[in-house]
Amino acid sequence: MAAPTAPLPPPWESDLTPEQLDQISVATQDIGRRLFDQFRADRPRLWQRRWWDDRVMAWAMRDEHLKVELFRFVDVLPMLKSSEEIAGHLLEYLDRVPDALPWWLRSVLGFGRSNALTRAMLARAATLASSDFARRFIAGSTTAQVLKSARRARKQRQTFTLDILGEAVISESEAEAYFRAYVDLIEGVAPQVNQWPAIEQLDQGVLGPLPRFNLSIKLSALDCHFDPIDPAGVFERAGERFRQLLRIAQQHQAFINVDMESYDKKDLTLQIFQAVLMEDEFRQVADVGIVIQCYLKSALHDLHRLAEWARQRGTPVWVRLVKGAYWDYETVHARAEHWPIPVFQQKWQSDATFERATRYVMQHIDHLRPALASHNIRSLAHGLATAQVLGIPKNGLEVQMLYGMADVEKRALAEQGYRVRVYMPYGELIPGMAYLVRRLLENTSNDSFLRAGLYEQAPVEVLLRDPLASEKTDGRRTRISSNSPAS
Amino acid sequence: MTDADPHSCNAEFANEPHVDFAVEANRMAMQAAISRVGAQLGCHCPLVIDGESVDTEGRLASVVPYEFTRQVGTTASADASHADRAVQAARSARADWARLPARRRSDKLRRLADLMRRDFFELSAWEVFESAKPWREATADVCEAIDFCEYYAEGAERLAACRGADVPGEENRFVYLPRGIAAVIAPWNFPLAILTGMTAAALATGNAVVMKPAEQSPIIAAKLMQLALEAGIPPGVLHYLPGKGEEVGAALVEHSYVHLIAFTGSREVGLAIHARAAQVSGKRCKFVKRVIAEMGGKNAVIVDRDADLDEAVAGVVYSAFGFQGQKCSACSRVIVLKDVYDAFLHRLIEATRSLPIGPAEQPATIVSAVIDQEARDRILRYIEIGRQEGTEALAVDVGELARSGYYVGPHIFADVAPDARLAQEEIFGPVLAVLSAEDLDEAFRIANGVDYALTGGIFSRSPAHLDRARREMEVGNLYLNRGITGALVGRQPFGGFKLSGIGSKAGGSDYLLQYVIPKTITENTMRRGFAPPE
Repeated sequence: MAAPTAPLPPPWESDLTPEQLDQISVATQDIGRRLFDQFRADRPRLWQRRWWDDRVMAWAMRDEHLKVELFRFVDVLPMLKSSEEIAGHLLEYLDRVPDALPWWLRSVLGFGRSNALTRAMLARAATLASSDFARRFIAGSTTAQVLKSARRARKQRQTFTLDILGEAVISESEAEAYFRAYVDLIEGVAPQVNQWPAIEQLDQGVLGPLPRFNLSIKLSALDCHFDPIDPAGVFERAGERFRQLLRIAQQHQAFINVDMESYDKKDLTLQIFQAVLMEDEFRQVADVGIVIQCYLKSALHDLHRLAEWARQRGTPVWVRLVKGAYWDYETVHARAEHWPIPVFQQKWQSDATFERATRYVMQHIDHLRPALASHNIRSLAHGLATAQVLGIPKNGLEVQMLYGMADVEKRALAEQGYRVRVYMPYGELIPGMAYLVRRLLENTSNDSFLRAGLYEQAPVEVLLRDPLASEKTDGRRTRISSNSPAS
Repeated sequence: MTDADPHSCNAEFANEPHVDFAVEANRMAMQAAISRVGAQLGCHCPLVIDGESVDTEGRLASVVPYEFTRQVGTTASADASHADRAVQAARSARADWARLPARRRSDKLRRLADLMRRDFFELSAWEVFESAKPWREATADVCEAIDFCEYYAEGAERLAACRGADVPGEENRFVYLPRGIAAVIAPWNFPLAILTGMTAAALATGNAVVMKPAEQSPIIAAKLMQLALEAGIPPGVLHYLPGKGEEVGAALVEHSYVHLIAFTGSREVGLAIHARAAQVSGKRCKFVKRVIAEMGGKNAVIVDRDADLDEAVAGVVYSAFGFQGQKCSACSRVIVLKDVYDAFLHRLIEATRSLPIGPAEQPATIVSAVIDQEARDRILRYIEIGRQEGTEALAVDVGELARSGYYVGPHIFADVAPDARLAQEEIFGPVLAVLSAEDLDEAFRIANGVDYALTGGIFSRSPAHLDRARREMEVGNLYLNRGITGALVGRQPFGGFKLSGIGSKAGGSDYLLQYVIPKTITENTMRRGFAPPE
C-alpha cells in the first residue's frame, strides 16, 4: 500500500549553457589529469602500513563471500572477550568459505583448530589487524585523541569536522546522553580549537572567517523515536535539542553540519533543519550545513526545494554533496518490503546526479555553498572545473573526505590551495563497527572509485570519463549487489 | 506453476507491501480515514444469515479499548438457533459452491482482496478503534488479510490441478474434495487477518463457512462480511454470527453438520473444542470432525554473549511490547547469557521506559491499551505474581490514562527462575520475564522447558551457535537475529506445536490440505482388450 509521492521534474531546465558545459568538460580533464600526476608520485610504498592495508583489502575483495565473512568477523570482534572466542569466531566464519582461502591459510587454520597456542596467536593477529583497520578509519577513541588527529590534519593544511560514533539511540536516556556529548564537545573543545593559529587557506571563506571548530551531528541521535510516522512529535523533541545545539554553537563560534542517514529519515531531517533555521532566532545563522545524498532519486528535487528555502531565508547554508553510504541497506530494505527502491541502481546515475547537483549548487552560490564530499577524482575535478568556469574562488567551496581514505588526494588538493575538510569520526570500538563496516564496504565494492583507481590502477581516461557517457557503454555492470556509490 | 524455484514455497505470490509512513500521502490517508471512521462509531451490525440481516434482542457492545466510554458499535448476538439456521443454509448452498471450478472461487477471493485494497485505510482505522492497534500494526493486519486471500486463492488452484499416475488401460486420478461446512472461530488480536485467513482457506477449497468472530472485535468482522458479499461470495456460503463463545461457538462446534472447526485463540478453549469435537464425532454426526487449532505461546528470545545489543534490544522491545504484547508470537521471556546480562538488561529497561504510550489513533503510539477489562485484570494479577517471583526491574506507570482506557504499562521482571509461573504461563500482555543462563546449553534448556512451541529466536553472531539454535530450539517459527513477531504470509508460514497448536502452518503451502478430503479415482479404461492411446 505504499503510494509514493510523484517526484517533481528535476530542475534540468536551469542547467548551464552548452558553451559553459563544454568549458567545464575540458577543464575537468585538465584538472583531473593534474591531480592524477600528483598522486602517481605519492603511491604507498612497501615499507608503509598503507601498502599492506591495500594488499589486504585487495585480497579480501577477490571473493564476495570471503568479504562478507571477514566483515562479519570485524563486526563482532569488539564484543569478544577471550582469545578462545576470537579464534573460534574467525574459524567459524572462514569455514563457510573454504574455497576462497589460499592453501597455506587453510593449513594454518586447520592447525589452529586443534592447537591452543596457534588459536591464541590467531586471535592476537586477527585482533591486531582489525584494530589497525579501525584506527585507520576512526580518528581516536577519546576527545583528546581526536584532537590530536585534528591538529595533525591542520599541520598538513587540512581542516576537520568531528563526528561522535555512538550506539543506536533506542531510549530517551541514550538520546539525552548523545545530546550531552555534543554539548560537552562544543563547550569543551571549541574554545581550545579557537586558540589554534589561523590558517588562511582553511579558515577564511569568501564571505569572511569560517569557524575552526566543525561538528557533524545526527538528528536521529537526539530522539529515540526519530520515526517519520509522527513528524510533529519528532520535531518537538529533536527540534528543541537542535535549537539548543545551535545556540551553544553560536556562543562558541562552532559550525554545525546535519548529517543524513537512511532514506526513511531524510524528509524528516530536511524538514527539521529548515523549520528551525527559518525561525527568527536562527535565521541569520550561516555556519550550518546539510547533506544531499546524490544516490537518491529524489536528490535534485530536494536540492531544488532547499535552494528555494534558502533564498526565502536570506542567509545561505552549506550543502555537503555526497553520493551516500547506505546503498546496500536501501536496496535490500526496499526490496524486502516491496517498496520502490529510492536509490539509483546504476553507479553512473549517482555520479551524474552528483555532477548535476554540483552545478546546481554553484549556480545558486548566493544561497547554497558547496562542500564536495567525494573521493572520486572525476566528481571532484568536475566540481572544481565548474567553479573555475563560473568564477567561484577556491575559498568559495570546500572538498570533504573521510578520515583514513584517499590521503593522497587530500594532500594533492591541499597543495593546490583548496580547503580540504576531513570527516573525523571518533568513539568506542563497539559502536564504531557499523561505521567501519560501511567504510570497508565502500573501499571494496565493485564500483568503488578507490578500488578502481588505487588498487586496480585503471587507466586515467576511464577514471575521468563523463558518467553520462557510461550510460551507453555500461551494459556489463549487471551486478548491483555491491554498488557502493559513496566513493 | 511452471519453473518454480524448488527452494521457495511460493513462486508467484507477492506480499502486499506494508505502508511506508515516511510517505506523507500515506500519513494523510491514514489520518483522514481515522476521522471518517471516527464519525461512524456507534453503528449497529445485525447477524448475516443466508445474505439476510437478522437482529436479536441480546446485543454485543464493542468499545474503544483506550477510551472505554466510546462505543465502536453494537452487533446482534447469535445463539444456537441462529447457528442452526446458518448451517442449514450452508448445507443447501455448499454443493453449488463446491462444484464451481477452483478458478472461479479463487477469482472471488482475489476480488475480495481488491476490495480490501480499495477500503484499505478505512479497514485499518476500524482496527485502530476496535482493537487499539497502532497505525503500523493495524495496516499490517489489513495487508495480511489481503495476502491470505491471494495466497490461498493461488494455492487452491494448484490443489485442483489434475494429478494422477496412469498406466496403459488404467487411469488414476487424485482429487481434493471440500470437507463441507467450516465453523471459523477467530481471535480479536488480528481481527481481520486471522478471520480472513481461516475463512479464505475454507472458501477457496470449496467449503461453506460460518464465521464466529471474537466478542471483542465483531465490527471489523462485519466489514469483512460486507466486502465478501460485494466480492460475489454467494450468500448461502458465508454467514456472520457474532455472539458469545459459550453459546453460538459451542453450538457450532457440536453441530451435526459442521465438518471442520478452524480455531485460533487460547489454549484452554482450543483444547476444549478439540475434546468436544471428538466426543460428538460418530455419535450425532457421521464423520470425524476436523479441528484446526492455533493456540498460545510462551516465546523466548536468547541473547548470546556476542550479540549485537543495538539489534537485540530493539528486536526484543518490539517483539515483547508491540501491540501491548498481545500477539501469540510475542516475546514473553528473554534468556540472556550471563556475560551480557547486565549490559543488556540496562538498555532493555531504558528502551522500554521510552516507549510512547497512548491512544492507538495517535501516530507515535507504540503501546496502547489492552483489549478489555478482563485482560487488564489478568495481566495485573500476573504482575503481582511477578513481584513475588522476580525483581521488578521496570514498572511503567500509565497514570491518568488508566482511568479512561484499559491501559497496562510495560513491565519487566529480572532474575526470574525458569520454573516460575511468570516464565511458564502465557500472559498475553506487556510483561516480560528476563532470565539468566550460564551458557548456551542452559539457554536452550530454559527456552524449550515450557508447554508451548510457537515462536522463538536468538541473537548471536556465531555461525556455530546459530546452527545449534536451528537444530535445538523447539518452536514452529524460529527467528535468527531479528524480532520474533510479524510473520508474513508465504514467506514465514506460521504456527506451532506442543500445546501451541496442532502443527499447521497458516500462510504455508500445505495449510489448505486440512480443509480438504483427498479422493482417489481409478478407472479401468480397457474394453475387450483395447485401451485408449496414452
